[in-house]
Amino acid sequence: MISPNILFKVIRNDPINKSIVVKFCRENAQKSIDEYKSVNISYRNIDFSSPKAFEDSMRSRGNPLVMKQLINEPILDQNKGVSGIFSTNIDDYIGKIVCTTSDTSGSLNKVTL
Amino acid sequence: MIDDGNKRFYRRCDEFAICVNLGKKGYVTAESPEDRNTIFQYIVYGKGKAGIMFTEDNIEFKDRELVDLRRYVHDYVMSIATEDFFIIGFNTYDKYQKWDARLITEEETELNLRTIYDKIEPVNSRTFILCLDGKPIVNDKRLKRYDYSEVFFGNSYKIDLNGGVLGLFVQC
Repeated sequence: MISPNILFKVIRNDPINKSIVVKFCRENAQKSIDEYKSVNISYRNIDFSSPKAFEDSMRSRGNPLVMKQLINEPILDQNKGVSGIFSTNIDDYIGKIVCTTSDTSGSLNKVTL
Repeated sequence: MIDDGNKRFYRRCDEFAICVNLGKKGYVTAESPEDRNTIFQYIVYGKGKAGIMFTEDNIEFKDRELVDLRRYVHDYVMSIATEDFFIIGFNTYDKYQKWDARLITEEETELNLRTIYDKIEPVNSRTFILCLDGKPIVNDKRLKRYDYSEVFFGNSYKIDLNGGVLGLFVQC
């Protein structure tokens, strides 16, 4: 599995409610980490046993958030593609932008004989 | 997340589903019975081994084979690819539903279920052909990979495998 490097920035520590407020983004995000939403994480979900364990637990909390940020990033107008050309002739694809989605399911093609 | 060792996608119809796995030599899977409905696998290319986790019960598979995995459907299964692979899994929606399958041979230029069922009309059986590779021709229609069709008792189907592979799947 490949996942991006993740940045986190602790905004606030709340020892009374045993939680922290954190911002996450991927290292190569195209905007500042300060522009992303903050999330609240309970101490229960953080491993304080060592600095490395702490970072590991922050990565495991941040990874799904960062992937969501990535998916929700706006699409540049010049990158808007068509959903499919439905051809196996490579010439039909030349110069066209085709969007293949991350949805890996689909319907089998039924043929009537 | 990008899993660069294995690309997987699914295709479904009302009666069954297929999962397609393309990956690299050395790729290992471990699946629980809750996640696994695969009862047959066609190996487009590649070699490997699959079996019940932590037992000696395993089978080897290789190119252009239809592998019967029905007996593993309720077990924890591990597999390892010993070559780069392209595998098409045939999945049932109900693990207790009985299915049978085989590949159609080069010699079978005509498919007639009457001969398969020994002239007794099947009551509940349904039979499907699924294109697993190449561009076989059935009743003058050229199929492409993952095309499927239900075939009916009493009808006759002219088959030219044309170098391709057709699976015959029977829901008993």
